[in-house]
Amino acid sequence: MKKLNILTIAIALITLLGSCSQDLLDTPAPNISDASFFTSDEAAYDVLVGVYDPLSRYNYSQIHEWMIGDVVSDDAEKGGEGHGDWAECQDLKNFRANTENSILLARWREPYVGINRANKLIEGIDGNENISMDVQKRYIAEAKFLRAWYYFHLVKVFGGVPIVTSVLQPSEFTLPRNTEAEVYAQIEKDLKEAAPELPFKTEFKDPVTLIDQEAGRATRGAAEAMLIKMYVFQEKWSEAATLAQSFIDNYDWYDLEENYADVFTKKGENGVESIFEIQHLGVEGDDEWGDSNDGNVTAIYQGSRELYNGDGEIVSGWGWGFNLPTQDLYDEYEDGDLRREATIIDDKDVLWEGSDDEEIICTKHINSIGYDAKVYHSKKYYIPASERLNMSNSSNNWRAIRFADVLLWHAEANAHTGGDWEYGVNRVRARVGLDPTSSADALEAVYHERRVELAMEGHRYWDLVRTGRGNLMNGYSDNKRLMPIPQAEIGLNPNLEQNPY
Amino acid sequence: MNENPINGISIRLCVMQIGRRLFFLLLFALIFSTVQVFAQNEVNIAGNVTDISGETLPGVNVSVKGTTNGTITDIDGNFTLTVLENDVLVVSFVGYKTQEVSVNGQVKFEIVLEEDVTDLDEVVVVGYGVQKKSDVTGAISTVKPEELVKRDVATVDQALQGQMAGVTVTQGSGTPGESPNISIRGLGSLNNTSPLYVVDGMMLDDISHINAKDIESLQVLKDASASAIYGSRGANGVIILTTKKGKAGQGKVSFSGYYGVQNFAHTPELTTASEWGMLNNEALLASGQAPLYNNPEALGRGTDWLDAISKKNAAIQSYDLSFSGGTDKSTYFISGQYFNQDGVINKTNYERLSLRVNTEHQIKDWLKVGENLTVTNSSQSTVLEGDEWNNLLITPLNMEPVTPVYNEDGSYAASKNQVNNPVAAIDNTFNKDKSFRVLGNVYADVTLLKGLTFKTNFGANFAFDEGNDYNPVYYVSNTDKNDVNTLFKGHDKETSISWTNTMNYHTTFGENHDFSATAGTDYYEQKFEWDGTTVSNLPTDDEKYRVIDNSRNKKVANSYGSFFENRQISYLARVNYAYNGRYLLTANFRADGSSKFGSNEKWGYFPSFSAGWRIVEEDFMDGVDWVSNLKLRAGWGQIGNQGAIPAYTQSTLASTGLNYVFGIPKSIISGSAFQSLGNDEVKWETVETTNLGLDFGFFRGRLSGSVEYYIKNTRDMLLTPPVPGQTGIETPPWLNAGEMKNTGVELGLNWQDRIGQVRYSIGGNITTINNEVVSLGDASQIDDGDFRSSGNVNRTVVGRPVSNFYGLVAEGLFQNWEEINVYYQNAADGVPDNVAPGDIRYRDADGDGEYDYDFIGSPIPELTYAFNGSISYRGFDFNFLLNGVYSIDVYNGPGYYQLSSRAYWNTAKERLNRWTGEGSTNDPRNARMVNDDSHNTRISSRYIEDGSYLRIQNVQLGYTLPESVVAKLKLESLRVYVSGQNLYTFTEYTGYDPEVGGYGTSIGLDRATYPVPRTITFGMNLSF
Repeated sequence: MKKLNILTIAIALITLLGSCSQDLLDTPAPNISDASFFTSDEAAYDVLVGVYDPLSRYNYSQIHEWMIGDVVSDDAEKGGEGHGDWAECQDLKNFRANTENSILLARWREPYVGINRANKLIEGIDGNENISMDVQKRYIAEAKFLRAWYYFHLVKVFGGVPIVTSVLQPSEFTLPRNTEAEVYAQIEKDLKEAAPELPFKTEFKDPVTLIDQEAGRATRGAAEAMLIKMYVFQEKWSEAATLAQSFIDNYDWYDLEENYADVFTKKGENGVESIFEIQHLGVEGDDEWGDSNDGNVTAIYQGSRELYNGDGEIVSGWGWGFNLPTQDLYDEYEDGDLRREATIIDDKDVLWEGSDDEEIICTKHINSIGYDAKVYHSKKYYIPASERLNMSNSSNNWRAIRFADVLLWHAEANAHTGGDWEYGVNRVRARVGLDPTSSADALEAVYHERRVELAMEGHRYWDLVRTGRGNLMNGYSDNKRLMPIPQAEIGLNPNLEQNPY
Repeated sequence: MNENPINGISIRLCVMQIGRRLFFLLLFALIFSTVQVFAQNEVNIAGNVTDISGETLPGVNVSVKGTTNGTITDIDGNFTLTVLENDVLVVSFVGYKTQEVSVNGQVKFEIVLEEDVTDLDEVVVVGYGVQKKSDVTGAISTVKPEELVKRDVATVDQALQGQMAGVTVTQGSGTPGESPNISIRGLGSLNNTSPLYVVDGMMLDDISHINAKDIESLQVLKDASASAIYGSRGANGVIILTTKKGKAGQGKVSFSGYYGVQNFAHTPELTTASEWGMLNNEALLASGQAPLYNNPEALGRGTDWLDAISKKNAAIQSYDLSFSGGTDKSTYFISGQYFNQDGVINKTNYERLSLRVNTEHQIKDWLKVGENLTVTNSSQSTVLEGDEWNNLLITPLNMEPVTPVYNEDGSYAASKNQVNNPVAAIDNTFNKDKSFRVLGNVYADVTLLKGLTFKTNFGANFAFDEGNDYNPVYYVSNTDKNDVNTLFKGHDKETSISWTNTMNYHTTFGENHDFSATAGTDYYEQKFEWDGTTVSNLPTDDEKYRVIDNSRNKKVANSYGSFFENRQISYLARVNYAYNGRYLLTANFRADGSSKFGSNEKWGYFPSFSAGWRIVEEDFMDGVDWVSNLKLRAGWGQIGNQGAIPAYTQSTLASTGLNYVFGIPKSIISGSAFQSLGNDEVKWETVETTNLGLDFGFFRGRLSGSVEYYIKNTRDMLLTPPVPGQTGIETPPWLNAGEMKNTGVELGLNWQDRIGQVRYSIGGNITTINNEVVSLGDASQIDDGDFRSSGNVNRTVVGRPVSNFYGLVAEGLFQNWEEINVYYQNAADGVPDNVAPGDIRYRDADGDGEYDYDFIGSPIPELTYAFNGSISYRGFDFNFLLNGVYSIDVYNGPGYYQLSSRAYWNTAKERLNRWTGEGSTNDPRNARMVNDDSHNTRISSRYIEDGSYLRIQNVQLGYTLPESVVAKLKLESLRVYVSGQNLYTFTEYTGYDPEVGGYGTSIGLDRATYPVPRTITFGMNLSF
């Protein structure tokens, strides 16, 4: 009898698990899923910040803008330890990039991360009754501004790319490329829809406390400046001239910094000349790398590899010595142009003389790695020792669009339409104490001014390409106007047609 | 007898060699040894021992059961002994079956020992039960515990290297305490290829905390028909460990210990300061620069940086004490072990203290209960490893030899070339992980009816880990410094519970039918929680004050924490049927439900079948005396795999911490995004195996072995294949997308015999691996193994093994300008600026100036093999184990630096044979010296090296003191030995160690791997 009882118990034990099994297999995740995320304005704000986040990515704005914008152009050499250091960047510069180039792969993928996040936000809040109307309007406008921003960073490197304006289903993963014109049309549409819904920069400052908690977010000014830039890139000169004129006339809170060099220091950050900046903030003691923090890696990349100590001996510098201004750029400056000193550092230059940050720059290493002509260190993102944190952790912002750029677009557009091109050129010249331009050739004057005013800010390569002056760069030919699409992407989406290169 | 002097010498030698600590433990053991009391009637007995053929056997142990009284037979096989009338004699000899003979008042004995060569009656632990080895139909390998403990290594998995066909153990890092990668029968998946470990019925992912000396048996289930009973977790094979139980009879105390030293057997050959200075000058001159060293000769040898951060003789030691025994009703096994291994690189160490209590009690005649409990406390200190920029094995290779360790004022000297000073880096490394684990199970066996038993087993595994990392403030140079001290504390906690209930039935009917069945349920639950905090700016770097509360910024600390949980429910069944001991059939079935899968895909069903034919039992084999065993086996089965997939992949989840900066003043604003894409249709990966095996024993079992052929197909392989960039998805969804095929042959052979008093055995195993990716779903390739942010080294594509190396093909060197001009004549962009004679000629088949990318090597070996042998003569025994890997490639990552044309970092000695002019060399490893090296440093076959090796893994010489001597010491046995691990490696590989490791889609990329040290140990085993 006893044994039979035990048999019963045993059978009971075996069946026990069966009866409650399905419930046990449902284990809830500790993260919130997309299905139930957008329940409040605060939740929407978190996702909005997530749309901004890719702006400051290491493999994107932090290095690409200057690795392509400056290094590939005639303004700079790559630098670093030597030619093998970031050899893929050297390949771009030599116009010998291949489809395995990892810079191009990241360049293709990273903007789409931002685009996808923007799409996800728009779909999540548009018409969602949990989200207040004001918030819906403004956040969707910001998402559209950012989406346009990301598309521009694709189109200026690869030309036409697939346009994605919604969260894709797996069946839509392999859309083919749209044309370059279609991408620009999408960008224009987003910017035009966004601009009226965005606040002005002046609205950011709390009128009572005078605290600005929103600096860095998209503004109407930023959207319109970006739209001017899009017109310029498409050579829609009259639209560009008109919008730039209205921008200069109506948005009087934008002006040039009094002192050119201040634009790039802490003082000029988010200042009067700033239209849109990629924001960075390092945290003391943070030794993470790349995208694991919100600092900027540009500073250490461009910092001096070597310094002189007080005894004139060469000691290790703090940076890696990339993005080195060329003699050709040096020579572009007119005598007495203050901007040269604010852009280029020569051997034995003493920075922050007399302060605790004082250091004497040595350019011996960078001139020993095999360039044909003399190279220099770049100054615009060179920050003093007291502002440097670990590695990728510096707090200086990337100046993406500043008022001088708008003035020079105004000049360039007017040079094409026969309008007043001298206004913009002379205004930026006057700021640095130079006489009005004496050039009779409007375009030549604008091109010269753009080069020296905006040097080492990641614009030169695209300026040369869009104005048909690519042949100023060694190895350039017209089929190199667009860079090759990474083989890895074509492998994943065979519908992508390769660029000629 | 002449053993005495030898004995004395041995003990003295041993004491000198193994050190004072061992000596005290030996004393301790002696003090505790019991003194026998003789009370019954004593009789003097005599006897003779022979084998079946009538040949006398010398050196046979004859002892009285349960005592230390005993002797050994002389050269003619004779023995005499004084015993009590009712004693039982235990007659044992290596290679023969142990016999027990009751004295029963007799005084003359003729004992015939049967050779124990085929181990056919040996019992094998299969999943959820045991089986006679002769009845096994699946592919199961057994490692004898004595083979495991021969290897003086930290963990059981390390000791498995070379022991079995089909089981590949790759050590990877030699950092003390690091577990090796183990794969059984190739790589079944692109993700998780680690086998399942089952310790006393408890499923585990790692066994680094198990004391090898506690192991009673170790089985490896290799094919689906054997491991299907473990269903979803058995796809990569199963390693089943059973820990020791006490045996009824007198208590036994065992002690073993060893002490040894370790060093690096091989390190890369680098240039001296004067050689380096000369090459550096040459590179600068070639680029039109002024050389830096006026007189390189005068620089001499310079600094040996590896020497500066490593030990000549790093200590390794292990001490183990166990107590076992019991009565007919209750048995116990209690053990403790202390293990401590210093790394050869300074500041690396692994220390472990483990305790075990196993008991078993027959409470009623129908009820047996027992428990196994082990508690382990370990700590591991490591230095930065595995990154190709600053890891502590690469910086000592890169640091220029002309720089001293310290400046004249005693401060650390700075590199001229932005390499971090390795000595400063190590001095400022404070990295310690601590781990506390409790693993235990309780079980009850209930006999319900004759032949029907019920077993319930409840197991729990608790692991608490603590990570500690401190970076003090230091300054070597502007790029080699830390301005703000930081303190990291991390914790994780794993709790897993399993509860298994099985019913077993066994019966025989008719004359020849043997039937058994098992059915049961299994519940498994795992919860993993973690958190960590980094704070900075502590007021002092003093070691005493490294707590979070001392940080000046603890309120804005950087922190993380979360958990995951997964559960699994299983139903299992097995039927075994044997007819006449000749025809064997096994069927397994298992249904698994897992919380990790989509709502409609939680359950997977996994059947397997196998059959065996014991040909040797057939009538027609009668009279074929030279065949002692012949069995043909065949099996087929499907098993699920879910090891790779994390919890919660079914839905698209928000990630936080995707922050951005707003405001004046700036502040970091928390952001969220949906980086992944959920897939609610994700389901089980299925591994289907077909196995054919033949077990054989010939010449009375002198030659034995088995040969197996298998096909292992993985379907619905769980993958996260990359998705097109235009989707913006950062973490691709888990899909059942791929297919993989592994086939192979495994051969194990063993020959054992004796010549007079010399017994010997020699054996070996060979495993062929043929791995092929059959499908990657929609993806055409998976790239992995990024090196120096300059592109990926590994590419996985359909139709090839996983993780091939992919890059340019370095064919030779341009010898003159004419060659260059011809080569680039059709190149659209002409001759690149930086190419000159002496630079690498990459393959360009169509001559368009675009170099050809191709598959340039495979890190998957074609063959792994091992040889082992033993020889014993009287008390002496000698063993060796060699293992090797054949036809495998390694990507020598550090070659980027050491083969560089610049001599900027320290340089491989072979660069002294660089190209110096037309005809000097055509070896692409030895391009000219020049400061612009970008043409020569592309990912190419230049860095691919043959990673084949043959390693003298273990050599051991031992001496077991004769019973007669040991008895006088009141001991049961005493053996002393000297052992060498990893004594020498025959290889062409120029890096530290060809055993590079890696997993998934990035295998075989050497980022300067911490080599496995060479170890010499002295040890002893004694029991009483």
